[in-house]
Amino acid sequence: MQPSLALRLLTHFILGFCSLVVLLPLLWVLRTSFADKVVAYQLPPEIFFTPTLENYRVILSEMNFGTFFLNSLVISLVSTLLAVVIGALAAYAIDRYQAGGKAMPVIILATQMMPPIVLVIPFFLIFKDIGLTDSHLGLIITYLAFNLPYVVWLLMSFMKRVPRELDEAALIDGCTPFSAFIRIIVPALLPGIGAATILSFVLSWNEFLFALMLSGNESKTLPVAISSLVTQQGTAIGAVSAATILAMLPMAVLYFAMRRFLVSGLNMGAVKG
Amino acid sequence: MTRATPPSSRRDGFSVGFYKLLFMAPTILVLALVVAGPLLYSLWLSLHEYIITYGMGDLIWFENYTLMMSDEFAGVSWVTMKLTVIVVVLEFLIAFGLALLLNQPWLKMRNFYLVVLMLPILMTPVAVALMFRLMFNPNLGIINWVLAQVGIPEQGWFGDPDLALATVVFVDIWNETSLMLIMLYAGLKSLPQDPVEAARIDGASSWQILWHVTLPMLKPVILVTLLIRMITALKSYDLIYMLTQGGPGKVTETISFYAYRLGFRFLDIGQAAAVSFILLAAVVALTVLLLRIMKEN
Amino acid sequence: MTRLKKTGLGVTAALLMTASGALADAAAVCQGKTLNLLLETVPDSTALFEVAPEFEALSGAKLNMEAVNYSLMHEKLVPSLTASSGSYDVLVVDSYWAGEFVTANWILPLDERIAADGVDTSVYYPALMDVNGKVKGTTYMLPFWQYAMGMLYRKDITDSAEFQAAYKEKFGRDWRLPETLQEYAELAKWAGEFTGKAGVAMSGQRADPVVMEATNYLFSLGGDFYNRETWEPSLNTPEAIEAITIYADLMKNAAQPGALGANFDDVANALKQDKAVMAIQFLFLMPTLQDPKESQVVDKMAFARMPGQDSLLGAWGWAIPTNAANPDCSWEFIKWAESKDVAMKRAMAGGQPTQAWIYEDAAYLERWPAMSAVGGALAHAKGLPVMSRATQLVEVFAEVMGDVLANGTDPATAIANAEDKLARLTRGDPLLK
Repeated sequence: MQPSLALRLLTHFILGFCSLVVLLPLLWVLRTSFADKVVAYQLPPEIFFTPTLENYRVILSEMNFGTFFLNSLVISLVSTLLAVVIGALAAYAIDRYQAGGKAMPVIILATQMMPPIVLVIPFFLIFKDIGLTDSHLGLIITYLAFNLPYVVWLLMSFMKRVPRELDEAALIDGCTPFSAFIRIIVPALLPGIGAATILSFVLSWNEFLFALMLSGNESKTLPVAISSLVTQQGTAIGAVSAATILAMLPMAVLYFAMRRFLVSGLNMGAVKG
Repeated sequence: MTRATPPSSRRDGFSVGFYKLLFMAPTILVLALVVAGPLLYSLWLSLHEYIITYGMGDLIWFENYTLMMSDEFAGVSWVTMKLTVIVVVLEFLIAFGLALLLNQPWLKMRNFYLVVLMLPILMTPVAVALMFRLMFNPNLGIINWVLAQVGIPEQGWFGDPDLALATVVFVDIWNETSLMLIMLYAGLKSLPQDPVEAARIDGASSWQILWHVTLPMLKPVILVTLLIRMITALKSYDLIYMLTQGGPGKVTETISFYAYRLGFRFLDIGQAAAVSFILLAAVVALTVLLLRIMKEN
Repeated sequence: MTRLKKTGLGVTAALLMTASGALADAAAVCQGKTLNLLLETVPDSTALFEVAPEFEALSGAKLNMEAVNYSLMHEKLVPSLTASSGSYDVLVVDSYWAGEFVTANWILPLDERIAADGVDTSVYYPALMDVNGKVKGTTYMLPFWQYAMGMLYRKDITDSAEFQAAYKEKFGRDWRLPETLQEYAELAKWAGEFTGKAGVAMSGQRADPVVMEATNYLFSLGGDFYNRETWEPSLNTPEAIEAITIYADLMKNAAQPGALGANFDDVANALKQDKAVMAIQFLFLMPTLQDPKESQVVDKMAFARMPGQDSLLGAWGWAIPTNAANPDCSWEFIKWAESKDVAMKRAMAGGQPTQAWIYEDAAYLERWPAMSAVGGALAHAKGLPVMSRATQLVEVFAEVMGDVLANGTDPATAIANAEDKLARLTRGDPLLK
């Protein structure tokens, strides 16, 4: 069923407008990443300037941003993977078996309600003692613990809509709770898993304070590296822009991952229908 | 609604209790090992006079908490409330609206819109802030220049006490709406289609379907999206840190940034911890309240 | 075998360095060790990276140097310094952290090492040893690089006949650089009107930007935060009130738009993009103002000392953290970095030297002519009070300025409101007894 042309036009107008609000600043960043500082700040803006790859060269070859990119990727991916697997199990236990009682969900979430400022010093002291500062593992564990509560909650909310009859039937058929989880719940939960993956990945990818405190040369992540382009002698805005553009590359991967999850979610509905 | 406990599995002989434990153990273990320690330690610190420069002082119980009586604390609480409510509400409305539009089955160019609208979330707040500081720069930024072309006078943006908070809100919305959009869109995608079809066959209008079918089914996802966003908004200080440092004056100083200043500028860890626990208590109360309201509806 | 190698390195060291054989010890205490350093992302650090392999070769130590943004250094250092074993072996300490670091017992006194190795601290400008070397008579740091402040101005504009004629008509005298703060303020307002640019680029953003700038106004009129004998707060004086009043007046009537939210970078950019005539800023901005890739005002800027009495002086100093793993090797590194040869190399690479003789070196001045003004600036400069809670003083003064600039509170009231906080900052401070 197609709505009227006017309604369709309006929809495209709204989506187009919002896309523009997102895109224009990004195009400006893209432009700045190819400009030197004089051009970057010049007004009225020069549209046709000779683009330079200097900013990309500086951050990649002189400042090692390739390594920081990899650090960010490894830390975010591993912590996200762990958070989603562990979190899905917990969400299942809480939603289907009321594990831990009524207060459990709030207690889990409450661990994430503190301003991180106060936690960072105890974190540092403990990690220092057990040798986890300036290591990938230290940040992976930290982000796992930080993102887990969100992942559990998000997956619980999706799980509520997977009809209980489905997994109860499986249990009666003799499945263990674990195999019911794998065979019934996980496929029905894919959109939620997709959303949780993105949430956890993005929070890890962008986290700044703990990355700053717990990292060193070995484990520096992109946000920390970008922040060091701000100096007392000025901000290397071109380099910041180039780094920002590079930092968005995982979006492509993330999007295709997301799309597969969403499509499978739709198929589920179709099968049931 | 109460349900019978699902039958325990007969095949492997383990009880349901065993599986509950098995499934919960990793989460509990991670949180207990990684977060519980520092949390309790901070609570301990909040009961002490502890300025790092001078070393650990006396146990003073709740004296640090009396800070919440000060005008300063009232001021930052007010800013925090304004900022959080505006940001969470606006971002939710925009994200939900966009998610509904994107979910229209006839929509063309869906993939394009989805990719574009998701782009901002991969930008670290540090970079977002630097970029917008450049664009909102009152005499060197492109935004004032464009406005000038259409005859709108120069604005001070982050440097204008009346505009600074609104400008921060804009940047926050630009940066953070995508994440809500994705969660809500995924929520819509996972809805079973049968009830919607049934309502349509019964002759319900699109609005009626949205209000009476889609929204109630989506409630858990909406609730959790709001909760997560509220918590991250209350905790975040990096945008404020990079954009305004809480200024001009104190018009953009939030509780989190205040706690940061107490802890890392004044090195008064006792007070910083106390402020953080006040915030923690407030957020827990708010969460419980929100859950109640949602249940009653 | 190892012994042979060590001696060999020692000999190489002695040959490499003009400054005597004391450095031969480096190999003995550093061989196989790793030194971790936290630095700020500034030219002085870049210059250090370039010469660092020399130290690795002569000492056998590995240098692991991490550079972060300025405002993040303090955050990163504090947890590390409170730990029983720290992350860093050599620190660079901002001058206004010095009191805090000494009181918290985070850095080691250096006097014994200086005496034992015959290190000559008289090569440094005495003003720099005061702000970033000694605390209460004990030497804790050697000055690494300085950040003197003063007046950056558009010499091409002020030298033009048209400007000078209009100046004479307006003020009834021949053109001269302002000699007092009041004169500076008048000039700023008028120069803005005359040129159509901002008369002065200002950084009113909270904390460091506004405080570093406004403190120059305060010191220029002879005001101060405390009486440095009795440590009573002294902001509630006519000089301080006038300084803040002038600052607020310029912020409103002469500064670039949005100056209240501007930081150092915004000021530098306003100058570079030809949007302002003057600024009270760091001398170390000169190299970037002279960089054609960043600046439209190459060869158009000049530096002069702050009008009036004093300007604010700051510096970074080398120190050894108390929880360093190998303090002996840390010291060898500091000695090496401050040896004449290395100091000169760092200076030539664009650093901000602290040793007075470098500023008299012909080759150096030819490479960096604008730096010849440093001597004049340093002769009339003083630092923030050396006290345990100087970092907090910056915050409190920023609150006063914010109250005046954003809320329109009159300076006397804003100061009176902060009096209590100011008094609390010095209470119980062991450095002030």
